[in-house]
Amino acid sequence: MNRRNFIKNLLGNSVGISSASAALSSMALMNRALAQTSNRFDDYKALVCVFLHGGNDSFNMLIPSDDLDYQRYQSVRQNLAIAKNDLLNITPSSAMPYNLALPNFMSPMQQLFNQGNLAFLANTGPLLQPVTKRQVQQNSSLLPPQLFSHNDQQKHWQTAWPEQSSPTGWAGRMADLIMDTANPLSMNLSIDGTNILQTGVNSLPYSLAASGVETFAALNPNDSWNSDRVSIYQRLMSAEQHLLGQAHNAIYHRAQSNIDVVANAINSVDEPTISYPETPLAEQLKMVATLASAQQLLSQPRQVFYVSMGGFDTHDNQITDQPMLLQNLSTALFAFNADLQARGLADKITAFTMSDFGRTLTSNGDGTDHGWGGHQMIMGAAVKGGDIYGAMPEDFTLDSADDYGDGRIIPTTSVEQYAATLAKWFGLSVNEINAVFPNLSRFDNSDLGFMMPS
Amino acid sequence: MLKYYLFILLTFALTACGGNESAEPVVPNPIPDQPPITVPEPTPMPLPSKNESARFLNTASFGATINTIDKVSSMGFDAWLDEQIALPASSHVAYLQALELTLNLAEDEKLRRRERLETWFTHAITAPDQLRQRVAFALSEIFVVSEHSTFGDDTYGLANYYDLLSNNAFGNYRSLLEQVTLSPIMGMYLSVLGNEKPNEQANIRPDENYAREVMQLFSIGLVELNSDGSEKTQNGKSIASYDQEIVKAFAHVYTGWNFNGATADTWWQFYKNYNTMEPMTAVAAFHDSSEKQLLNNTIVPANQTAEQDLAIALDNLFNHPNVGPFIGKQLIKKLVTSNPSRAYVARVSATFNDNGQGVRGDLAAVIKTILLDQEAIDGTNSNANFGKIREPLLRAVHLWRAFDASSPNERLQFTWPDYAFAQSPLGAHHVFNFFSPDYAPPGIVSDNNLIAPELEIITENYLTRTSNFLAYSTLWGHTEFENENTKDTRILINMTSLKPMVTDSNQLLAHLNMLLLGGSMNDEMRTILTDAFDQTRELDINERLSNLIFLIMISPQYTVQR
Repeated sequence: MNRRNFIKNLLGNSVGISSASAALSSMALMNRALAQTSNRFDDYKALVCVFLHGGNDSFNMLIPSDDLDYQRYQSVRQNLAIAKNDLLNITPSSAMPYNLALPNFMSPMQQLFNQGNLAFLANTGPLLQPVTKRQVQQNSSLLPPQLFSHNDQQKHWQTAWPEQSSPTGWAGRMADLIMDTANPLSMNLSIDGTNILQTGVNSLPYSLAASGVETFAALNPNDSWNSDRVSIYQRLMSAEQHLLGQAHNAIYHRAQSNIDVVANAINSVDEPTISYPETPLAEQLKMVATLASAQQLLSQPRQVFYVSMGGFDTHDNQITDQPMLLQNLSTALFAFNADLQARGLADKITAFTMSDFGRTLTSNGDGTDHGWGGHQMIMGAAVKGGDIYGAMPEDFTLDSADDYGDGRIIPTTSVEQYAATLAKWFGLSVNEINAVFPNLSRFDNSDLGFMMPS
Repeated sequence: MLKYYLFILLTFALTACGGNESAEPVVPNPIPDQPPITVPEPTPMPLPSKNESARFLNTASFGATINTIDKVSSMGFDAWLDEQIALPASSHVAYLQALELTLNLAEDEKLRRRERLETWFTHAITAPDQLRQRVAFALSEIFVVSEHSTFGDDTYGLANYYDLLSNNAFGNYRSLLEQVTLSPIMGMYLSVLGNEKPNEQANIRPDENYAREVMQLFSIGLVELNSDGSEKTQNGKSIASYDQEIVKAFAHVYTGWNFNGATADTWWQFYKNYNTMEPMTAVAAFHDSSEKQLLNNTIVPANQTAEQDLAIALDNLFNHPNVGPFIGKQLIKKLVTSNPSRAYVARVSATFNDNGQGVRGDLAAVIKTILLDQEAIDGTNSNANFGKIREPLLRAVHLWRAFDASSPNERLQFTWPDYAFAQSPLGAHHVFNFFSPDYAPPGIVSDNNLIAPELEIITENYLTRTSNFLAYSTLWGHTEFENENTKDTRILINMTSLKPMVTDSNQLLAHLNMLLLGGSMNDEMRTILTDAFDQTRELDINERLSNLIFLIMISPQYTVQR
């Protein structure tokens, strides 16, 4: 039985959660058994998740600009509305319910949008299935668990599978299926520490800093004066019976087995020819571009990167803070895109945002509270840019059919649909996509069309 | 085991005095001069050994030292805890004030993060009220505020918040909750400060930030719990503790608060009102006085003051049955073990619910129950998975405590804990702390249905950095490297007391076993370390000793506090 049929048979029988889980783990096991090498892919691609911690108020990112709709927007957002004079018009290729603009502090994004290197995905968020306002009002079991809670909603974005008892992330599950199991270095690279997105059943992210990797000072086996000490440390680790101690040992082994190859790879890459802003996100993206440039040395035909930016939980001072946040985000992404173009990687790398949730259209005086749906950005030369995908809310009137209450907008596109579109571009088969996103079939469209055909 | 021993003694005493039954006809005995059953003087519990004392101190302080081991082994756990609980809190604010007087700051200079960290390390390493400081640190990881916010450079304000936690560490949870709620630092961090009543015309409704997080993180948690910490279920599903309507209701309660002394006229004058040394006060004009419905259908009547509303709301949270297991279990995890049994959690919850004198929320009693519980005392003897990964930051503190660290500049300054450990005091990146209390890495931990919260921040890169920090602070960080430069800020360990033992590796290892490992070193580890010590026979004594200390400090056996 060839691989394809094997999977088909597996999935043909799979209904419900436990069997979805079983299908995934069987496929992952099979990946292990095949000791898959990098031969599966003869091209290079990378995904870069830019996680906006705290819940980005993206309803101030895509703003209705014609008079009537701007008035509605302004009347609901009041003192949080971006002034009409500060709007930069954009012209999406697809028809929209109203004209749209970006705030002027996102001018680099306007430029990328106009160049066709940036797309927006409108009103996306955690969903268990497509729902209307009436349905969720009548049946709260249709709501995703712990709606409006930061960590639970982050988890939903990153797992795209809320029913799991021990959570794994969708990039981790992708790695379980397609990673090169002969390579000690994980396909998932995090420049921002531990995260669920990149945690699979069998795979974990390899984590390094925006500045790269630090080598061991007193435990470096390459230094002869350390060798006695290193061998004693190895013996101490072998002697450890406690499971938590063994888990700590495993981290050491992952660090030690990758440190040289990663450090050398980083050192081999030329400095960027463009300058990045001096912000934490830009520093992280700079390291992503470095690791992407070194993908051959790292033997990684596929890479998934995780970077993040904090501060989006704008309960207070939103008028002051949000322009700085979105400006920092825009300039960092812009520099990253320019660097990738200069390195000839722009069509191979797709960056995309995720964030806990959108925020309330209404104000709490000087900020906003936790909402639900929100807009996301997808950037790269493989993106069908210059357009807005998904569906913008019909209008910005409070208590509209999109409004779950106080301007918490019910998403019209699910996390699964968003992620599956990226996974398809990344090179997963339909069966693999269905295994990674067991709830995908609840939604009518598994490819939202924002990526070029691969 | 001690309790069991006492029980045997008492039983034996009763049997000996009163149980001498026989079949002979009963001859009335003359009334004896003394009653036949004497209640024996409470037999003093056998005192703990030095190893047991050290092990206990690793849960009840920032790590064992020779002096504290001597003290605990001469007093016993219980008496030492009582003495610690009675000690007055040493104040971080007072330390900063005294420090400022010595610094001759220019007019435009003020104390900064560097001095706040110095204050924290000085207290963690040397403060006599160790238990209180240790519990305050645990509380700072539950009731999280962070320097990563607008008030991040408010050195005194942050220290004052920390003092609030240590002042309340052995008080009542209800009072702690109220003081946290009214702290202007928390008020800024989670937006109670300046929260105003609804203004429908402007679509303004109260800020939900604190209303949500105080429930999710500081009191009851997301789902209903049994007293043993397990989740209650209905049709196989967990039950949410609250919904959005409850969040909104509490958000309305927490309106009208601003910096101490602000008035309706000065409400908007943030900088003029700014005061992070005193609790917030209410301004009636900005408080929503409508009726609110809280948890368990508790009604806050209309037309009350902000203070009256707050009292009902905090009582409502305080009396929720989740608080004992929710807060109690987190404190167990922070101090003793990541994977407590349900029975252990239930015993701690029971103390939270009633300290034995009918008082709910007595944190001193809760802490004592946690630290003296049989499961904590038995450790890995009864459960192989007992213990926790030490927080990386606390490994540094223990090293410096254990070896009487000092610096050529006579201060204890260390400014890059976040770089080395992904942790620094009041330095979490969000209100969810450095790591989640429920984090379980995939692999051996998850597979065995365990959790290991601290591993969330121990990534490949941070493991390397912590290992390197320990190398710098042992191999190249002992007093042999001291120099005449009084501006040298390095913190150096002192190995003088080890030097007499250098000729006897058994004695040396027994000493380090006690001081660092609480006696948990097994024969295999002893053999390995003996080999390590022998291998360095040719080296200088300082190199030999520091190498041994480094190896223990990075060992998985030390990394897991057990």
